[in-house]
Amino acid sequence: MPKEKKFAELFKELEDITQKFEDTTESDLDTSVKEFEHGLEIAQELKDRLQGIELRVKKIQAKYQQKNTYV
Amino acid sequence: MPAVGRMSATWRNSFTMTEELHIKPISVSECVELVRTTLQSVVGELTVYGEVSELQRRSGGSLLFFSLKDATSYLRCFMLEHELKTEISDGMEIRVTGYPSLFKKNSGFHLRVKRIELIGEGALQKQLELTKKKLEKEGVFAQQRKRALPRFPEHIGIITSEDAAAFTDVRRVLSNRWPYAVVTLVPSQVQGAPAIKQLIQAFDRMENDVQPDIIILTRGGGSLEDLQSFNSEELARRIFSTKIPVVVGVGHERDWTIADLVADIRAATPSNAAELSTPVRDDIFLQIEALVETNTHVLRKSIDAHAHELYRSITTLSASMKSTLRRVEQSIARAEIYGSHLLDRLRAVDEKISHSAHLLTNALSSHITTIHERYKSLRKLLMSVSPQAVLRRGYSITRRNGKIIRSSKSVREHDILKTTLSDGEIESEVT
Repeated sequence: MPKEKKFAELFKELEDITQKFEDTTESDLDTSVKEFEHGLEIAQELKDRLQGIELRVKKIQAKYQQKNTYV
Repeated sequence: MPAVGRMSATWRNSFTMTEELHIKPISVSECVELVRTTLQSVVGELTVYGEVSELQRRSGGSLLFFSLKDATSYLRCFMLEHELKTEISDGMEIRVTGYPSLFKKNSGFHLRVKRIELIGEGALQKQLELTKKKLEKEGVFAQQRKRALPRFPEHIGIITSEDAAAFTDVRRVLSNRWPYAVVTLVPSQVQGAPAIKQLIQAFDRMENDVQPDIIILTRGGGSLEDLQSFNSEELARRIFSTKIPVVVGVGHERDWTIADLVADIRAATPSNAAELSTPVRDDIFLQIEALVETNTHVLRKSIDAHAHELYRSITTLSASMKSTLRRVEQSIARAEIYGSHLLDRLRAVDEKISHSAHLLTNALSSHITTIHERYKSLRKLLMSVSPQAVLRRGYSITRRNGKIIRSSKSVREHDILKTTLSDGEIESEVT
């Protein structure tokens, strides 16, 4: 399974699509619609990732290399 | 006198003892060494406080000489440069720990210093200025080396004391703003003797194992003495060499530390450090919506433009079709008129052809009759002049070997002759 894209990468992709939309004089509607749909998918993915999460905090001891997880 | 005798005896005794002790003379260096080791074993380690004076560096700066003084005395001190962890200068109040010793060469008495501590706000402030100046000169605080923070940190490392209010503050702010990040705390004391070592270890751990997107180094405010570890040159150099961007947030806004100056981002407080490290989740939601909205708007515009283009095309096409249709109709109408003329002309031509054909037929037939008549008369004539007709009148033709005999003299006895009559042939022999 390919590595999941980072939030920043996805966000950048969405921004790039938007930039392209704003800049281009692309008259091929098929391509535009495909790009638009791709943008929607990314936006949804980003929103899904942000929704309903709580901060996760881990503690790592520098000296004894102990690892505890608590929220 | 017994008293004198006693005294004398005592003196003699002590003399004898000395004589016995130094029974074997020793060299100068042995003497210096003996006194040095005796001093160290008898006096041992000392902590002495006083004001620094006559600070000197020798052998390319690797050896450090200075005196500690108070109102009445000077104490010569010596240490190695690399053992010096804080900057000192003349006039600073310090506390040194070391042991008494003698220089081998001139048996000069001094304190072999192992550790220096600054005492009093004045000394600390002075030391802070010195460290700042030194690091500034080396470019440790240079703006151009400061790195930008990632826009969307997914992993934030925090170095602070676990029980500190600073950690609670940072955690609260991160939780409110950007809970998307995973936070890893590497606890460390932030003041007291082991703080510097622990903080440096924590940076090692962050860089080697945790590898977050951002490191937040934070603690609450405090006195200059409390903040000593954050003002240490060692920690400053460790922050400087860290490959991950570092945000430092210490206490209240009025405090500044060396760690602040070397950080990629300097925050006013622990909460501010968390704020500067993260975006706000709700803002990002809005931004995503705005991007989608822009795309929708652009696409709608594009679709409208296409629809308009299409409508225009249809209108143009329809107009062009209509005009073509009209032209075709006109052509048909013209063709109909022209066609009827043509038909009349065709009919006339046809009649002409029929007429001509009739004339031709008549002419041919009379011609044929004439030819036929002529043929019949010619045939009759021919019949009348043919050898057959002559034979029928009683003449005959005699041949020998196919050749006509025209004279009786041309035949001889035993010749076989063939005579043709009108109704047959006779073969005969000449006798």
